[in-house]
Amino acid sequence: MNMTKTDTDFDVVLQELEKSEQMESLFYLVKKLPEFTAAVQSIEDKLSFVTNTLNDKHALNSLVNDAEEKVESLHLNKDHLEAMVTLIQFLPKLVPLINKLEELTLFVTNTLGDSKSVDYLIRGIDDVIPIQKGIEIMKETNNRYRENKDTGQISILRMYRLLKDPTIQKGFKYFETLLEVINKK
Amino acid sequence: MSNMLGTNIAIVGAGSAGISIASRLLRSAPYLKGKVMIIDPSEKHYYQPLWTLVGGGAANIEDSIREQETLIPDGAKWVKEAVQEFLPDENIIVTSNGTQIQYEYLVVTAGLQIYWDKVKGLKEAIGKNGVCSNYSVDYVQSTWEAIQNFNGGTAIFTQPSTQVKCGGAPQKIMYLADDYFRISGVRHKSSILFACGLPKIFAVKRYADTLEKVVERKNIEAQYRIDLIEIDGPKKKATFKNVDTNEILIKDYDMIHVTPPMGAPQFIAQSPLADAEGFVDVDKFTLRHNHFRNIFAAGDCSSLPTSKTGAAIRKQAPVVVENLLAVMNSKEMKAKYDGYTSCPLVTGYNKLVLAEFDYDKNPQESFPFDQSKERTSMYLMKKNLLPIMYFNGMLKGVM
Repeated sequence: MNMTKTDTDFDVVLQELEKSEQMESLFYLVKKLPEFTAAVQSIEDKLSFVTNTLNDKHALNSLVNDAEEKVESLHLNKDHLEAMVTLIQFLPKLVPLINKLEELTLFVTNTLGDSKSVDYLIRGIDDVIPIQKGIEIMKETNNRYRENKDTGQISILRMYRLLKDPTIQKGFKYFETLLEVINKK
Repeated sequence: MSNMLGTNIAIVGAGSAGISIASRLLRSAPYLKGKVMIIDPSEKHYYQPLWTLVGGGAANIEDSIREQETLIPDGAKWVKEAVQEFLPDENIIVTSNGTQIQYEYLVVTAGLQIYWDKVKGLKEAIGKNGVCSNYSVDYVQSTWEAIQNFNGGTAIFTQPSTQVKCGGAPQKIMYLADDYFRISGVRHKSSILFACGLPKIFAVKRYADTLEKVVERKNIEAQYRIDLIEIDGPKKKATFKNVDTNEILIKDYDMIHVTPPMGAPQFIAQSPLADAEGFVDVDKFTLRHNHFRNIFAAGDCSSLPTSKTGAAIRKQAPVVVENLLAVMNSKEMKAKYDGYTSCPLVTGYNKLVLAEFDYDKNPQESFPFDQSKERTSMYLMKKNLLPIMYFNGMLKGVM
């Protein structure tokens, strides 16, 4: 007896259904059916809400008017929009720079907020440029000068003695070298 | 009953790498606040690169120490316990207190372990009779005392053939000592020996060339491929073994600075995370574990074939963070570490060669001048700027 095409298809489906993996899948689907139904219902509810809102012209008008008022209050014109587009174009280049700037700002903020680091930094600067020593020299010099009762004139002999001072000698040597360099140039 | 904790990201070790990575993670992904856990028992945090200068009397030990709690970033939980065991198949770490910590992702940044006991007699001798070492907060000041008390004779500076924290550090203190011996007027009646387990003075030729000139200028004798194996404190004798021939050499000394053997921490070496040498087995570019896909490592405890320095960690931390976040968000890992490391080689008071190079030993210098030359500017940077950059930049995840 010749079987019709529908009968053949039906048999194939039945054969497929008899396979254990198909049975397991069906069992899984049936078991999960309540969850699927709940999910579909939830989607239906949301769609219904969207449809209702779109049909509610009064609510939509109110929303649009509100948004337009807010945009108008910003007084944006065509120039602003063009600038925004340009800015967006630049963003890939700007963002890394801004990140670096933020990191630098944070580093400076962290350092200044950390008393131990500030103290260490000041001591470090003092190592290189002896600020404290310089201040002490200036203070002592000022004090001695104020207390100095010597009213005598600076004689040639005193000047000669001063010229032999190592600091002045160094200064003269530096000046001498400078003159040599200037002459060569 | 053992305590059980859970976290998204567990970071083992709160040293340079652990704190940097935690800070970067929390800055890059603020949603991870409260989901990062740092496990480390140490109450103190040490900026160890400064210890060369502390040993040389050019810096104070106090400037290298911070309370750990002041450095743990906001949003990270600190568990003050020592990790004892890794169970990576179960995503669990176990601490010495018996606490089990379940994690989703793990970052191992536990540093190097110092094996003082691998040199016979060292533990008994250290800190007295002219035996000193910069490698412990307890003994670093003994180096400065030994240098000051040295009245001539033989001064030995050792470097083992093992991996060490900052490969150049063992010779830095030697150069400072040489400078000081000249200032104190004892150099003419002294001999200095650099006893090094490695085959040459430095791995990168460009800087090795400069250092060989420094050694020659300072009249320092350098002997390579010898490891310190025993020290007799009372008799002031040091025993060395030739790494290639096993020949034994005994040398008298008046002062000896010991760089102890170092290696992977025991709890890592004995774990499934370790490679054959005991280090955390990670891909050298992505820093992800080669077998456990949710584990990363950085810093000295990792298998990365580069010099173990803080500067290397500064470049590794962003790679770990970027790749870890990519894995967490099911994205492709794009960040790659090129092996960058840096060694500020102090060659005397106010002199420094700033070595910077990558996996292939190619120089990767940051400044637009020849860094292979000894420079005062680089010394001032190491002494005065790097500690500030470390505490306020690197550990905060911004540098």
